Amino acid sequence: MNELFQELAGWWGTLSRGPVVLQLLALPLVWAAVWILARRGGWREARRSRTWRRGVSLLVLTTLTGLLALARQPFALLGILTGLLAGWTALELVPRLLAAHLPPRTLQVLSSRLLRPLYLVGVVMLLVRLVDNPFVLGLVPIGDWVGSNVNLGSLLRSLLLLYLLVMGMEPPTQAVAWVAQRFLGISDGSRRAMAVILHYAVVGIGMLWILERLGVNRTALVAVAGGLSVGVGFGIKEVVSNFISGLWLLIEGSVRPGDVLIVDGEACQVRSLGPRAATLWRDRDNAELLIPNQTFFTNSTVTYTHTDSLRRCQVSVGAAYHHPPAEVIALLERTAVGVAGVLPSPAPRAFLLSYGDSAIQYGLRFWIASALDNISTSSAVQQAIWQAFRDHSIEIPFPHQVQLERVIEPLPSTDTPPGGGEPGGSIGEK
Amino acid sequence: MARRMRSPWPHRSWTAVALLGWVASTMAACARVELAQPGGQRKELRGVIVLAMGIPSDETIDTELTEALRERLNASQREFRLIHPGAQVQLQLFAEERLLPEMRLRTAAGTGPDLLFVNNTTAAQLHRAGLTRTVRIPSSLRQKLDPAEVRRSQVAGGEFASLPVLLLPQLACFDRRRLAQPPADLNGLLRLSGEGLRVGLPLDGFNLAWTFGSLGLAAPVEELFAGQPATPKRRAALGRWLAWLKQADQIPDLQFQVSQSQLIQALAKGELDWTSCRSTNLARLRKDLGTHLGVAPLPRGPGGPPSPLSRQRVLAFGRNSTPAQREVAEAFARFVVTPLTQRNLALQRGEVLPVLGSLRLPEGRKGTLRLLIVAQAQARSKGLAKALFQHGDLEGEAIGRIVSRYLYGDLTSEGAIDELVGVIQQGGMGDE
Repeated sequence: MNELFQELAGWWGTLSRGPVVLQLLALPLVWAAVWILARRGGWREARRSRTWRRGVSLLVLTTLTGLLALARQPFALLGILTGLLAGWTALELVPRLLAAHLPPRTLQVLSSRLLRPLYLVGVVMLLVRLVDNPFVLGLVPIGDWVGSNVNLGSLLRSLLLLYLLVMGMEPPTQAVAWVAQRFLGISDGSRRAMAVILHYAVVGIGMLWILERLGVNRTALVAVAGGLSVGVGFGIKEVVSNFISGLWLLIEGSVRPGDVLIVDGEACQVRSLGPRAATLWRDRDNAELLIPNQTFFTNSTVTYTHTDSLRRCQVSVGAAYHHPPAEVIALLERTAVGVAGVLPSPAPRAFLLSYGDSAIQYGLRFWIASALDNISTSSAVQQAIWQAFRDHSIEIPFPHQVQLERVIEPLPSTDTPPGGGEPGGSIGEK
Repeated sequence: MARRMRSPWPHRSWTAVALLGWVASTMAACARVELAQPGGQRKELRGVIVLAMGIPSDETIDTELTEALRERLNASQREFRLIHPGAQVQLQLFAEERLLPEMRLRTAAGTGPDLLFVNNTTAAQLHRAGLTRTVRIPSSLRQKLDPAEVRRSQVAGGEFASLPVLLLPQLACFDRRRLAQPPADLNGLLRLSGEGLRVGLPLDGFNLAWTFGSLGLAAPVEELFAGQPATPKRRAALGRWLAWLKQADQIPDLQFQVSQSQLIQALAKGELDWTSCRSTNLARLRKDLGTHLGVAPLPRGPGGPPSPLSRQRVLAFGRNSTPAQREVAEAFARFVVTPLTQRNLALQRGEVLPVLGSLRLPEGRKGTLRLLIVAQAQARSKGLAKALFQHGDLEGEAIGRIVSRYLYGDLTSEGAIDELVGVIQQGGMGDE
């Protein structure tokens, strides 16, 4: 590590040169000057935007670079910094260009986790190249780790590869799963599960390859892993348990992204299966639920999408006693068939459920394709029943409440002779 | 009567002229390095300077080499800091063939190194590209330097593109476990190889040039490099060289490799028994082979002694240094060509020779040093060094490619001779 610090200290001699300092300071100074002008210089509102300010800054910096070149002064550093700023600006345009082709979340992930970090790595490499030889700098030894002489270059390369594996391999694995779905005809849930399993597999194999590249001694690694496993067993067993549970769920296919589960009586859709927890989306209030993976192992789970995604729904309705049940049942079944979202097959079925106090209770059962549409389709069916009953003059009775008021006469006095009158009074209806 | 107002700056115009003159003279001085010892009271030098070292293509930049070079620089720096405790030299390594574009970029950015330790041919290229300052070597120092080496660094106007510092002669390295005595001549080398000795020869003109002398072809080849016409006699000389290489290539245990560094690695791993080597390879080979490493002069031949080419390592001066950094760089340059430092550099490891021709080294103390002196004498006796490879390793690599095509049958003998004459007489080889 001392060599690394010596190397970095050696940069001071180069970076402290007047022309270098001038070029390094030019960028923040121009940036600040343009910002102040935009705020206080009476610029029109439209021209105070970041894009405008950046454009003006780039123009000024390019002019300054040209002037330095004309004056035969060192200029390349400022030129490179200007180019990098222009590149960063261009990078911000990429999500806008791809907005029509990719969903917003994918774009956000692509931009913030892949493009920008990679660009910054490139910037650092380029700037280091101006004061040192990055390749030789990479040879600076860091130390002996697990039987391997690790140097700065191999360590940084490994970290970069690991980052790319974790962050950058998601789109390719999803593409492979998509191709598999096209050729094998697997369901959406299976496709998502395949993508996640492939992602984990690629990351796992990639990590082994990175350790191999670093020259880590396998025997020593196994020994370290053995020692760590004890600590892991006590310390982060929940995390490991959740991770293993997540993998098992994907392999078994009992819970997959896209599945609809009933959680606390509410239908929720599985959005993703992470290493620690599954993310579920609840339609009722657009909430996202993070449920530890091992919950699905320890608790029973109700799902509508294990073998198919059909859901059977039921609505109840009462009809007056004087309507023949057969007519009512036929009408209910006909009504359900005409409602959008109700599957014709299996056909809707109505049943006489019970004889109530004021009405005969009927149940109408029908099937829908998407389990999450239960509430909306049931509502539509109930509206259709109301309309159909009205059209066919079928009464939906409702309980009539009768309140009786009874005035109780005061009790006769004790000196009233026996048999001298009735104890009650008049009864009236209110 | 109104008094005439006197300017607070009565000699303003003269002051301006003097100031401009001072700036101009300072700038002129900045464009050139003065290595004369500053007189008067010694000034305390402070600051960090960067020494960029070019690693020739026959060596590989790896952790081992980097650590070895840092160690050597630290040894020299410790002595330098006895004189200038506030000065520090920071080493940066570059592949010599990548140095020109790297220096272009860094000089344009103002981050160029203060000193460059490179081959004299690379220094000349850098100077032609305007990336280094010229050096004015004081006559007192010039008289101590080997005149031949001084001429190789000279540019127009009597100034120098660089300051010669060290010489790296070429030798033969072998594994004593497989070979008790090195072959004395080319025929012996081929015979031993035919009997199973694993011999490696580099496929680059610079490191293969020693065979010109052994085959008696140094004079005609030198004439070709000097720009003289390709007469049948001179073409025949090239033909004889190619024929010998073809003959060598027929031997199963003799292999040609593109780079010298590959051969050195193969010898270190025990995959080769004999190859040519550079004195700077000895440290690595000693580490791997220990006492089994044998070193000898390159073999003679029917045409006389070999004509090895020594690499001349020089110091060139960057253009971006501050005045304080320039002073440190010039002081360090003066330090490395003092007789004491030169002697120490030669004796400490026995891998390099000083450029001070007048310096007497105790030859008997170290066997390798004696061999280096012999190899350098062989290099000096043939005039190839001055005529050949004025443009760095590019010509050597181009010659190597032609030889390779010839050995693989892609070129006939006449075709290869035509191409060789073209490379030799064009000289530039795509150089700037």
